[in-house]
Amino acid sequence: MKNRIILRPLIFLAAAGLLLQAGCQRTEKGKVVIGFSQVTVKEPWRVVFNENLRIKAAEYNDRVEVIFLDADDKTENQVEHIKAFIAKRVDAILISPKEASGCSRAIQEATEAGIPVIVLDRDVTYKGYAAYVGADNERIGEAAGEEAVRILGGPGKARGKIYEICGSLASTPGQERRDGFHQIVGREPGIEILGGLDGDWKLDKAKAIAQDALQLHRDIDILYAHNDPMAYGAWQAAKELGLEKRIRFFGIDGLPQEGCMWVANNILAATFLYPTPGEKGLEIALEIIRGQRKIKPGEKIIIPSTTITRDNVNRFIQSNPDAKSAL
Amino acid sequence: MPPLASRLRSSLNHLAPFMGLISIFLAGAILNQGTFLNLYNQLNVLGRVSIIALPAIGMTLVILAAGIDLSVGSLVSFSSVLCAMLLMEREWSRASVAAILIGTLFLFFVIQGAVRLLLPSGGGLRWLPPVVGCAGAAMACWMSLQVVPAGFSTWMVLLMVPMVGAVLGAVNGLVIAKGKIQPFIVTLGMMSAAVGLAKFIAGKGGQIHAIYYEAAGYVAAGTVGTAPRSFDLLSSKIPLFGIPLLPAAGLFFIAAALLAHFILTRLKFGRYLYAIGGNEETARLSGIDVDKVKIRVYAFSGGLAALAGVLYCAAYTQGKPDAGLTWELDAIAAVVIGGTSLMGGKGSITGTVAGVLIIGYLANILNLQEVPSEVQDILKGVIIVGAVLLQQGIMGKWLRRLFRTRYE
Repeated sequence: MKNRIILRPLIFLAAAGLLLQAGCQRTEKGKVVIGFSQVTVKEPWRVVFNENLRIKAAEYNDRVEVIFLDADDKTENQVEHIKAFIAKRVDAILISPKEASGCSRAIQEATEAGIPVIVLDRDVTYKGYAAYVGADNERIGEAAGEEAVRILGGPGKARGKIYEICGSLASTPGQERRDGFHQIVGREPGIEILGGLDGDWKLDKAKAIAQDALQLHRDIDILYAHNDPMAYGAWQAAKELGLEKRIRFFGIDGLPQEGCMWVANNILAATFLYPTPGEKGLEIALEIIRGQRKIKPGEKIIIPSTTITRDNVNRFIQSNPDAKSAL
Repeated sequence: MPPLASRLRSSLNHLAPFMGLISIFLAGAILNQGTFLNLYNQLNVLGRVSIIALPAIGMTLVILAAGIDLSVGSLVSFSSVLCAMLLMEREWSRASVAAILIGTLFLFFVIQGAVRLLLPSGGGLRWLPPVVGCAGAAMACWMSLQVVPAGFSTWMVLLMVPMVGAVLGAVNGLVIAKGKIQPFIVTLGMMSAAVGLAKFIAGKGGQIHAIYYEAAGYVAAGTVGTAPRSFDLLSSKIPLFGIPLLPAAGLFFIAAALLAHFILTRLKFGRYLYAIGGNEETARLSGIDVDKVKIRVYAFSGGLAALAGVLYCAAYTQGKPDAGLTWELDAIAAVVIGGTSLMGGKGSITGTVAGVLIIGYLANILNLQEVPSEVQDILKGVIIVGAVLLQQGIMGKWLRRLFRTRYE
């Protein structure tokens, strides 16, 4: 970590430079400037997250400007982002933090400086922020469990075998997606849950796990993976064995380019939308800035998930501006 | 030390990876009996390790020359995005621009190098190679320009993407050789830059590019078409004696291993690699063009990594900027388990092939035993270090003790 000493001021300068540019425009009357620190754009879900936020911000024409900063998966960078936002006195800060503790002090500083901070997706330990907006992974896991029970015969009568491929079990989303699912399915004596290996959210790892597991368990009814790419990888493995028709595949996230496409193309039986919190976060920030909303420190706003199946998938593909249906 | 014991010792050290491979295979056969040994499972493992084996083979050559290539994982990511976009896009995209520009550059150097080889030495036709190079590259460029609206064919991505990878690898080599910077630092830079490039080309900060084949009920997005059916062959099993047997990726793995083995054992270039890895200064003083060898070996590594990206794309029907994340570490692990010294000068391709298979079989066996993931990670770490420990002459020491009474 010896490069941190050099990098930190550099990141600060870069962020400050970006802000300076934004600050010049801020002299325009009534223009709201909001700083947004995104932890990383390596994951496709976060790419969609940014895209949705960008579209939402564009709806306000020139009255709202959102400054997007990418922290490249490092907490230190996010702290520098917030410090730069404070120095520039933006109207509000949106942050999607890397983990619970790292950014807490900086968020506290911003809050004490009178800048409302909206925490997105992952919660932080400091609870004095203006609001938290996110989806609930445990509830999504429960929704997947309910769908599985429904398919396998309904509560009390459900019978079958489910194979589970976990996301990174060292991460809270992975744990919650498992716990929620087990909570519902565990009540059914007729259902057996197998597997539980760590696919690390990756398609290739999940495919390898499924290739091995399906040799041992050819008779599973549902394959539940903690995200869509892993479910797709498992489907590819099942296809090699000619099992892809009899097993139903469940994924999570429901991104237009991934999960929704796979549901539309009859690969996944269902995916469970993990909604991006950017739009709701921006709405709340603007309400606070305009004085339409009173800050209740530590308030949590949960955005609901949706079960996406063949019946409603077109709606989710079409909500993506550059997707069109060839059906 | 008596010659027989010494010879035995060195050959045993050399054989350590294979003994590891054999023992892990036996362990699998005993633990999982039917499932592990059946053909389907064996082919699965071969197909799975084949893709990661390619960067490991390139890495072996680099490490033999006392270098390291941390950029292979990122080059896999970059080339998977490039490959997916070339196949799917039907309009000009960043991918086609990059591929055609960099591919043309590659052809220019290769063609002019080839012409130079053919020319009589000391002749006056020094202007000829660059001119022919320009002409050839321009022609190929013009031909590939025609392809863009129809999407690239399987053959074209198989040629162009590795060419682009080789050029990026050559950039590594160039900076290392001419800039006199440690390979670790230069390739660390390329590791970051190539992922950035992958995200830039992918657009929208790094979105996924999925591959679809024409099918009923297919839903298309944006400006994309469908991939040619022949591309699917790269992920399928090639029929032998009428039954689908050999995974196509396995063919590439075998071909690359044979090629690298041939280079190392039969070509001057291979001997130069060992010489540079043994002692760079001595190699330089004995007249080896060290810079040129370095540039070429990093280009080779980059090219193989890019080929792995194409195969990734076929196997998982997608290209994305995090496809090869941490693959460089797996490649290094395979090389090291295979008995190649990180100090350079010592090692072989056969060892790396064994190393790759050991890692693949280990994961397969543990999965079949339904061992929890965290335990798998621990075992993988133990095996990596244990394998190297064994090769550190410990086996030789035991052997010497065994033979001492007889020979001393």
